[in-house]
Amino acid sequence: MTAVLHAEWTVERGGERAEIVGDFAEFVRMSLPGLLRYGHALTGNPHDAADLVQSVLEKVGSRWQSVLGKGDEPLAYVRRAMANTHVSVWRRRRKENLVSDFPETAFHDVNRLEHEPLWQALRDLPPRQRAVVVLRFYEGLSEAEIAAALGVSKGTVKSQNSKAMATLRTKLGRD
Amino acid sequence: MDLDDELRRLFHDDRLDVAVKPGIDEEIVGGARRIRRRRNAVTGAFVFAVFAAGGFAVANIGGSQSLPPAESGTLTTTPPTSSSASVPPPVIITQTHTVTVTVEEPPAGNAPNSNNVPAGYGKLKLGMSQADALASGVLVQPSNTALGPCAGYRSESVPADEAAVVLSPSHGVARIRLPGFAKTSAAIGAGSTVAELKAKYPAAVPQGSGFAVDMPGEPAWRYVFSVDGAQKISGVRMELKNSDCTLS
Repeated sequence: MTAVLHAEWTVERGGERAEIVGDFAEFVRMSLPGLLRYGHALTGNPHDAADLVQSVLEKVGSRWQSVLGKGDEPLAYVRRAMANTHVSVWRRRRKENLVSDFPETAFHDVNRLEHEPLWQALRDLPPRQRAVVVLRFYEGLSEAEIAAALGVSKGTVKSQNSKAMATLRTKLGRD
Repeated sequence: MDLDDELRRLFHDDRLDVAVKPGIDEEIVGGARRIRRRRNAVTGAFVFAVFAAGGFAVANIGGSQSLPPAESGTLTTTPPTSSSASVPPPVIITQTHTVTVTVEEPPAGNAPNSNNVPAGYGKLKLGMSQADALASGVLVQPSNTALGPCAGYRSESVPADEAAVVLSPSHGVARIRLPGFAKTSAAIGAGSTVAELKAKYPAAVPQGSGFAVDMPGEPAWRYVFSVDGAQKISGVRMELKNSDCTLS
C-alpha cells in the first residue's frame, strides 16, 4: 500500500547493487540536471529554468501513477509539459523579466553565454517560437512531433519556425 | 556557420548547464505530495474509512475538507479488501494505492540494505512465489498468452507490456521488465548505447537481437537488454536463468 513514495531498490547478493528505481523521488534525482538544462534553453535564464522545472515536476509527481499508466516515457512527458507550460504560463512573466535581474555570483559561465549574439537573439523570440526552435534543435523533434507536443497544427509549427529563423538571421546579420 | 548548425552547437553548450540546488529534489517530492494530498484529501479519508471501518462515518471524517472527491466514482469498483491472492487485482487497484498513500506517510528512502535480498524491482523479487507476487498488488492484468506453463502480467510500472512480469507456478517470478526510465546499478537503461552496455558489462553476450548478462546472486539471474535499429538499448528485463517459462 505504501509503495508509491518509497525509494525502492534491492541489493544483489555479492555486494553489487542492482539498484533500479520506479518511484518519483528517484526519477527527480536522475532527471534534474537534464531538465534544468532543457529549461534553461527554453526560458533563456537559469532562474526561470529552475522555477519551470520545479512547478512542472510537482504537478507531474502529484499524478505520478497515472503518468506511468499512460505508457508514455515519463521524461519525454515532462519535457513536453515544460514546453507547454513555458508557452502558456511563462509568456507574461518572461516579457516582464526580459531585462531581468541576473544572479551575479554563481553563474559566470552563463554570463559569457549571455554575450553570444545567437543566445541574445533567441531570448528575444516570443515563447512559442522559441519553444519550436528548442524542440527542433535541442530535442530533435520533427514538425509533426512538435505540433503534437505543443497542441498546435503542423502549419503553425511551420510558420512559427520560419518566422523564428528569419528573425534570428536578421538579428545575427545586424550584429 | 550555418544557422541550423549554430543552434545545435549552442544547445549542446556546457554553459547551458544549471547547478542543481541542494535539497531541491526533496522539495519537489514534497510539493508533489502536497498537491496530491490536497486533491485527494476527501477521497483518501473515504477510502481509509472503507478499509478501516467498513464504510460508515464517511461524512464526518471527510467533513473538514471542502474539495470534492475527485475520483470517487472509482470507489464503486474498488475490490473488497483482499487477503486472498488467488485472483489478480484488477487495474483499478492503482487508484486505491495512490489514495491510500495520502493517508499513510511512509518515511522516504528506507530501502533495505541487506546483502541477502534477491534481485528484483520494487516489491517484486526474482524467484518470489507466485502467491506472494500476486499479493504484492503491482501486477495489474493477466495476459491471455501462455508462456510455457507460465503466465504474463502487465505491471504497474510497465502497463504497456502484457508480459512485463512472468510468473511460473514452480519457479515463481521469472521475469521483471523495467520501466523506461529505470537504470541498472551500472547506469544502463533504455537509451544507453550498445557501446556503453559493453563497456559497463564486458560479460554481455548476444541473445536474440540484444544482449544478456549473467549476474551474481541467488537465485541465478541475468539482465536481458533489447536493442533497437540505432544500436541503442530499448528495454531491460531481469530474468531467472533457470525457469520453465518460454521467455522469448
